[in-house]
Amino acid sequence: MKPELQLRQLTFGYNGIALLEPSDLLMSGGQLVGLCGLNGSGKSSLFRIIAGLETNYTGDVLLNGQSLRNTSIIERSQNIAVVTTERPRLEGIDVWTLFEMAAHGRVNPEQMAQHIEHCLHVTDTAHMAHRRLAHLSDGELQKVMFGRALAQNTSILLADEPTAFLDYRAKQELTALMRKLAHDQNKLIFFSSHDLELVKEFADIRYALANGKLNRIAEDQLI
Amino acid sequence: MKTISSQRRLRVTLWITTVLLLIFSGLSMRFGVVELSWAEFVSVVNGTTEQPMHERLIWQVRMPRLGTALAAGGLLSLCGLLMQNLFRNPLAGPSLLGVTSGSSLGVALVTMATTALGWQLEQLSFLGVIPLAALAGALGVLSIILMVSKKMNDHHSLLIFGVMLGYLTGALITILQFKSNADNIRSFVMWGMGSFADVSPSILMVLVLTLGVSYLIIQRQAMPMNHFLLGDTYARSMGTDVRKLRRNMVAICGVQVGLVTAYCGPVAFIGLTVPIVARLLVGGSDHRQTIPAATLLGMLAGLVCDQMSIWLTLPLNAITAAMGAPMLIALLIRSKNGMLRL
Repeated sequence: MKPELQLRQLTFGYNGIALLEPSDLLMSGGQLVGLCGLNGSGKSSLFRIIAGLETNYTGDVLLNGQSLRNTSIIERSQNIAVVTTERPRLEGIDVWTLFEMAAHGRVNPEQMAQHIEHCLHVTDTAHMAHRRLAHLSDGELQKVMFGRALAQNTSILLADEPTAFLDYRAKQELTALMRKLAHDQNKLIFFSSHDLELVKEFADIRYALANGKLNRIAEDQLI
Repeated sequence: MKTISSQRRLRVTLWITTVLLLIFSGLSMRFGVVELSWAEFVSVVNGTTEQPMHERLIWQVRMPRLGTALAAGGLLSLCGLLMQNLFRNPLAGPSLLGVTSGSSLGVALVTMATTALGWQLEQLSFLGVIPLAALAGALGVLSIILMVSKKMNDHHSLLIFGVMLGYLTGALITILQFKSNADNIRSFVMWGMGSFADVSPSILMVLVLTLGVSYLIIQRQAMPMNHFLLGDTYARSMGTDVRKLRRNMVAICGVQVGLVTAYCGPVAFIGLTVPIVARLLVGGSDHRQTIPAATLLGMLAGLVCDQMSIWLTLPLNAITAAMGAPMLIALLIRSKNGMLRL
């Protein structure tokens, strides 16, 4: 079954100012969905709400037809992996252990090493496997945090600005990887970016969040 | 891979610690105020001794004391490890939640009450008044913290709350001491110096059981505790209920440190230093490795500090700090790449 996320009349705001007016949206697996928006437009809040990390909203978010409010933390973590803009700079945890932490309880122990090696390989982070998180550059850590989300082995992946600290080539590579994962493995991948060009080039479906409105960017508007 | 090498480091750490534990346990049986020969010790153990004094010395004095030092050291270190995780701060320790100061307050209150009634605290000691007061104080503070922590969403508020509670009880203790008589103040001060010597076998059983049960509970939470290091958002997205975990960690810590403080006094420094050393030895913060390492190292630290305090006839807390502080400073100077961080 293809994973599905649906927003139903979703509204949220901050200090009485609506960041999003009631909006409907349906996303399903096999697609890379891109979201553009300026700083402070509410992109990160939208991601946190869809990920079930924020409950201060009206309307509803449905995960495979079930309201997110009625799902448990475990259930959500089995379906949705999240990449935020936070970069935890830990001294005592290396990349391999981080991936293990994400895959723990979702991949059986015999296949753990193989699974982690695969996730390291596809995100081009295998050479950092034994480095500690505190010793990685911003860009490296961002790639690693994305790889960690993959290691969580979910059908839905929400990535808030996953390419913000990456150089031009790495940006292209990571976004191409997201597209490939969505197409080949029927994952639903929803990412945000300031970079309109990047969203244009790779996303199958594109949205813009501005002035409290979530609008689909039509093909002809892209030119 | 890395995991294998860190598992090897853990194994080496555990083996070396175990060997040292056995050596020091043996020494603690033989040496002390009264010195036994190995032959005399063996004859006590296999029951062939003809000296009832030796038998009493081993079974009723040295064994319980050894057990207490091991159990208390393990409990304090585990608690320190939990605290450092809970506050995501390598300088957190068992005393940070205010539970220790709650115990002190309990004891100070009893001291004050006996003064007001014109009694001497020493006359009441056979009733176990001091430990009971300490336990009541610890549990009182713990329940306040648990109530408040439900309303607190982040560890910073909890940290400030715990520290403030410590100051508050500190102030109350000062007032109580001011109103107390000299002999009772002396009892209070003696309790505050910490000791593993005054624990009865039944209380020792409670300590050992608490260590065993809390170890098993915490060991099962190793992965959630690792998740917790990444921050609340990531931890929750990876399936860890951070509120529940935080509450459980506070409760377990409170019981651990409350019990130890009640019967051994507010033992300082072990709970702070040992988890740091454990992380250095296993080479990381992965709780699957630091939990067993910190527990065993804590037992060793409890034992070594207690032996030192016997040999030098100094109070326990003087030894823990005198040994712990230089060790921590040396580690700080030697660690180039910030290995002391989480």
